[in-house]
Amino acid sequence: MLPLSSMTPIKFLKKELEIIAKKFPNVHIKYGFNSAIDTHIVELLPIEEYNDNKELDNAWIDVSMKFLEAFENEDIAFISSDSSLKISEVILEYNENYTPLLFPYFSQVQANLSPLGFPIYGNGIVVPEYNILNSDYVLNGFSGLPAILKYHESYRNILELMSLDYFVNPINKIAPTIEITTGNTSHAMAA
Amino acid sequence: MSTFLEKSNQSLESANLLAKEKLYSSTVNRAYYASLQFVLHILIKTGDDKDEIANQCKLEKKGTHIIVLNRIKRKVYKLRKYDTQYFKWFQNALPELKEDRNIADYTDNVLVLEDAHNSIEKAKSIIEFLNVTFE
Repeated sequence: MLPLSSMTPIKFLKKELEIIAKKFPNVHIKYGFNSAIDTHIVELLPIEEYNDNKELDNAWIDVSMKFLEAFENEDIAFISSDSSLKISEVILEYNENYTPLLFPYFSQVQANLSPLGFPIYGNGIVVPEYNILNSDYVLNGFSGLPAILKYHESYRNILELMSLDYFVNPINKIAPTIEITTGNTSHAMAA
Repeated sequence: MSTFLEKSNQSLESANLLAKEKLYSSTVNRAYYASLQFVLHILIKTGDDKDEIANQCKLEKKGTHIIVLNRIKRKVYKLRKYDTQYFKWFQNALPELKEDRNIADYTDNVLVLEDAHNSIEKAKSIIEFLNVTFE
């Protein structure tokens, strides 16, 4: 491996962003250089991940600081879609076919709840009323037992169904995990 | 009061006066410099030498701005006194304001009151963040 002193900024970022991309497969990463302000820009999408994923925060802040230490005459900014900074020419890109865990996939989650044996009320599906709570989906109308679809702590393409008292007693998971992939829900694993 | 603190205060005051006069491009320019001068004030207050900064700029053939922005981000990070959400905002805010200033000074874009207002608010927030962090 090249020592930091002989690396260019782009080589450094290529190496570090690849690591982040592998660790966070649901995060779309773009890198470009804004020559007007002489600044390296890394964009992380979707914005929900950028705003709420603490593990992702730790990973990119660490890379950002290592970059600034290694290249004292360079500046870098990690942004998301809400920034006024834009990347006009993408130099590096990772996970461009990422699976955003957003509303279009909600129906797939619903469709797979019943076969897992969860008590589902109403017209046979989970009532799709939800709030976003720190990136988690709160399901209502669930056997009088509100539940949360929570991102897996390490693998953001895994949703875990938990009772609301998960936050009081984290051991008390009430359901198996559900893995979501692009297209169809791939499989459910028994708890 | 340090020279850079005085200059920062004056730049911010100028920005407000220029906005009142509807001179929006100049407002954005002064707002950016208010924050940059405040960053220099903090760097010197916390032990950096202004001659050494100037020498680094000469040696690296880079503008003062990049080197100053690099240093302040590292300093904030090393203090570990920040809330992550604020730090995330801060590390973006400086380059964003820098780009606003570039647009104001070097493009033919017409700036409006909202642009001027946003730049002043951003500069004030950057200054407040640094004040709280290094108080």
